[in-house]
Amino acid sequence: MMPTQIVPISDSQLIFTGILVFLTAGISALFRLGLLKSLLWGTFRCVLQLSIVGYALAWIFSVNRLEIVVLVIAIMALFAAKTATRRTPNVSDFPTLLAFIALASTTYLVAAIVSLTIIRPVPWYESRIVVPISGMILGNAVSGITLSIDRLYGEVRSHSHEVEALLSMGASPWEAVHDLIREALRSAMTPTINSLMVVGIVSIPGMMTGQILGGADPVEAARYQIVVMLMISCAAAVGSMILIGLSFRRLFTKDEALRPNLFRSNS
Amino acid sequence: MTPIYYHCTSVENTLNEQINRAHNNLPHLLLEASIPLASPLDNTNPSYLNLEIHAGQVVWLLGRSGIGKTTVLRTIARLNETPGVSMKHRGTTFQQIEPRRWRSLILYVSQKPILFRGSVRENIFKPFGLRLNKCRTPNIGPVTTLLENLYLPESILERDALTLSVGEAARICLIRSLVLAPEILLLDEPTASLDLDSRKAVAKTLIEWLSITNRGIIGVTHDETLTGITPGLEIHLGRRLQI
Repeated sequence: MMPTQIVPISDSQLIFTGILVFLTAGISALFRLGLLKSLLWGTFRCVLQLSIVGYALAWIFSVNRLEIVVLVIAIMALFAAKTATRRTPNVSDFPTLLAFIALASTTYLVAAIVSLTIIRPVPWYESRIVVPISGMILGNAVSGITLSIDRLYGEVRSHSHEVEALLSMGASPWEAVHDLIREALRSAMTPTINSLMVVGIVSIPGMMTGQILGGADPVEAARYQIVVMLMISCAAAVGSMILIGLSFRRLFTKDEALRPNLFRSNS
Repeated sequence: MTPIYYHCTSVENTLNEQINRAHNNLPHLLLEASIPLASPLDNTNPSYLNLEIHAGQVVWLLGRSGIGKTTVLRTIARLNETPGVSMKHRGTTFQQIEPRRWRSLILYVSQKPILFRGSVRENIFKPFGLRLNKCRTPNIGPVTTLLENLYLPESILERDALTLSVGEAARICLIRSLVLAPEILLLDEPTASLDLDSRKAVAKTLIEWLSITNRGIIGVTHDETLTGITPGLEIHLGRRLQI
């Protein structure tokens, strides 16, 4: 394999991204889209956030301690949990804490499996590996858990008569919503499983692109991408299962009846 | 407030208790309920609907639509939580009985017939797949008799439940409830979607069902055929309650 080097982007080169912003702004102005302000603000935030993340990661990688890695993942999970609770129009109240527990435990579990058994860096919590991996796990677990809980509430709302009929016949809350939970889990897992089928054909995934740009051998990048694809399907499955396990009982009152305020929409 | 968990063995205890009470010649008081009725004028001082169901007894709740008859049935089935309710099943307050156990003893049958994906047979025996009823075995014998009495062909058992007409589905739901053998049936307009012959058949079926010891019915209906054939205490909601 020919050794390739990453082509560095200097500050002066980065200035020329202005051309891209200028083009985007031009289109917004031409069609009077009213997006100019958002674009500028977005550009500013993009530069600021990514620069901070770059420096933060550099520090995390240089320290490279297990406690720091655990803490960083927890902070990422907290932000992810906040995003998750905003993306569920069907769920009348979705505490951040539940989303956080589901996301954090999924990330720790899946990241540990990937690091300990597959990638096996030394030390096993090598932050250069574990932090980016955890980020990808989180991103996909968020879409998994939001899809599953939103679907569960939607299904229960539209099948409330069936649920109550089952309760009337002596079903436990679990038995009463069991079929709906299956639907919810299926909806959470389907997108990642479908993406397994088309990956590489329709598009080359972002991480693989990044690795190739970073000078990695495409064959090696593909191996990493295989791990990532299977890891994120697993994350979506585990995350939605944990969240639904934690929250299905919240559909019911203490007296095992369907909660009446489920039928009010909050959007 | 520790809930009592019934297991298969407690069926025997209940039977023993029934035998004891039969020896003493006491009429079995199956259910006592006192349910506050929402009155739109005066929320501070609710009126109460007091019901006592003895073995073999029928109570019909009458009154115009929207007066809260269904809510009363749902409250008794513990599907609605209403503050201020007091209910006792054979002397045990409802808080001491697990909700699922309570609901299978005091079974609510909604007005809209609810069937699940699968054949009619699977639907009728669906309750027996629940953990609570695992120790009971369904018996096809009564189902066949019930089908015949309710003018349904036996071949309906193999049909896809979701293809039934509303009238057929209503009768299948009734059969499913009867086969589960609750003590009290809470019937919400059981004959609403049926023709005259089927309404009579339902009424006769209910009478037959009641003739077995320790069973009662609380029903909501507008159907005079039903109240005529299955006579019971008639309570008109919406008027001042005097029972």
